Amino acid sequence: MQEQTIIAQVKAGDAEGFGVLYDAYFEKIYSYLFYRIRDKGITEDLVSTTFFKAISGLSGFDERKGNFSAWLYRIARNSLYDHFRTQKITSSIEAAEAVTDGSDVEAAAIGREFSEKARKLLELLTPVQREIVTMRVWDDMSYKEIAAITGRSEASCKVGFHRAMAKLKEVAPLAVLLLIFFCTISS
Amino acid sequence: MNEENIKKIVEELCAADGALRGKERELAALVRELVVKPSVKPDPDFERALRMQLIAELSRRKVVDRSFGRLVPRFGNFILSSIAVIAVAFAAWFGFSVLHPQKENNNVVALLPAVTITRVGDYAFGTIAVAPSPRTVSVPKVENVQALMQPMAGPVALPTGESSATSSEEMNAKMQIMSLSPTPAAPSSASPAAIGYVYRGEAFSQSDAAVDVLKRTTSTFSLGDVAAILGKTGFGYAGTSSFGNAAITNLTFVQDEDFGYLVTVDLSGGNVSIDPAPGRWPSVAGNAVSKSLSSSSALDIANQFLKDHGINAADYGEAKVLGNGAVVSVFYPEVVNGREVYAMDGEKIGLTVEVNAQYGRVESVHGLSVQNYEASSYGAIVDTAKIISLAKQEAGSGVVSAGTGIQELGLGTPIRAYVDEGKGLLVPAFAFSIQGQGSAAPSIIVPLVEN
Repeated sequence: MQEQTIIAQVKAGDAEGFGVLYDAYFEKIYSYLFYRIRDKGITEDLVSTTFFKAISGLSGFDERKGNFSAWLYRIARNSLYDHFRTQKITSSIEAAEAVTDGSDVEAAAIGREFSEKARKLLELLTPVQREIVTMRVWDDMSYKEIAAITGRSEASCKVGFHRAMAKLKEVAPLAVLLLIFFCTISS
Repeated sequence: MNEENIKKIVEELCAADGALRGKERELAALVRELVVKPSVKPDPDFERALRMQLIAELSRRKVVDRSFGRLVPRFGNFILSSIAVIAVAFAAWFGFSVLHPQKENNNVVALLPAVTITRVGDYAFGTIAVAPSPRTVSVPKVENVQALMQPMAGPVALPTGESSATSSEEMNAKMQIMSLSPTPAAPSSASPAAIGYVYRGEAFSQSDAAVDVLKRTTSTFSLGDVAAILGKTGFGYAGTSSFGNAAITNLTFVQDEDFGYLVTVDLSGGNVSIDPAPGRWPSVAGNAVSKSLSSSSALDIANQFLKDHGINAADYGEAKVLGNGAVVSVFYPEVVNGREVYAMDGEKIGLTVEVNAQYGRVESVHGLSVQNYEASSYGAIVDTAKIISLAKQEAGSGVVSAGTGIQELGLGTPIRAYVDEGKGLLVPAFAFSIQGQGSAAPSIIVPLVEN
């Protein structure tokens, strides 16, 4: 069934229909938030917030002004930023550091798993570039999707990503060269 | 992200900047490095619970919308506008209360049974006192008496699946079983002066040093608040302030049409009941009941009614159909955290939907209660021997309704449950069945709070 049809049905009062949307987006939204928070409890809290906000605002959702996916991600993104603001954390990188430096064993284990190199590379970017890069490579989003969520133009997102990669290539050539070396000898 | 996607990203970069051509391997390596991300493993219980809460919330909104929508044409504009204001406040109040179930909210109330639990401090509800209730034990049929009176042949077979958990409590339970092996008692023709209970269930353990006592959270409208809202409408309702600190504890809605309903919301008790609208149902007494309903038809009608009104029957235990007369009752046991809820007299608590056989319609719904709780940790009894002893003690507080010479009855393996102590507190408990009494018979309830 078309997503638009399901949304129309949910708006008309079909509560069970929302379950279909939830099933389609739960993991994506959970992942999006978890990648940036890396704390299970806070992620669950923010996922709850996101979906409850979604059902509250669904009646006002206008599919002519954007697709449901982008709309839902925008809610998740705003919830994330609200969380950062209340925690006085300025970025997901800082949030990640706060978690990995803490005593939460689970979060610490996840932190170790998360590439230290990737974290350091991302730290080199501006917040805008970082957001575009993480959406592109972590969340597998197209530029069109990133543009819809962040409110920027598609072209601006492409340029942002390109500049970010160029910057990383310049400032981290050694890391890249080493990686290529290891990739070559291991293949 | 797979290699194909990485390649795609690199292609895009090169297309955007021709100077990057020839450096594809470096770029790919860079993307590969960035792609490394934390692994994600959502908790399936969380996913399921949130899904249920969301659907229940949407259903609840639908019910509220529909109820008020039906009420609208029934009243004059003057009264209607005022009711609409209250309705909005009511809906908003209920709506906001179920948001963010995991966050602290001292006024958590929901109309429908989407269970939400908010943790509060330990021993937050004071002393838990669960008073035993008078019990009437139906003595089993005579043909079962001999079976009940048979001593167990040899040692009790203990479940091997729990062999790794050789806690002291479990050992205590095993020892208790051995020591409780019933001694054959000769049936007496005289009425028994007292009935004895013997534990004949399997070994069980209770190793949780603390258990969560749940408290239903409810609230009331302040009449002053409502008056203030109504005052703003310009309809002259501000005079309600003369009632001082009065609070609105009940709201009643009438669906003023044939076969309409009277919906009563008990805000202080957190209950909703649905009854026939006065004068809107044909008098059954004046009409001979000519139709009967099969159990499956009654169940279908009840299930459909609940579905139509946004009440998820899946939130309850397995429904049972009771009776087959003019009104057939369908009982849905209340389930919280996967455990059934009992009254202290051992009867299950739940939602009762009564179906009118003559009209094939649901006539009333009772026992629909708020499912929002605060949870507070209390010390628990971990000594299974003590639990069994308390079960025997509790069972012994009853009265035997008929004398057949039975002196001992067997208690079956307990299941984990909650007991509603009557003031909105659900206390974790063990429910022991009495052997030979049938599955519908009351159980023996032993609250687990150490007190």
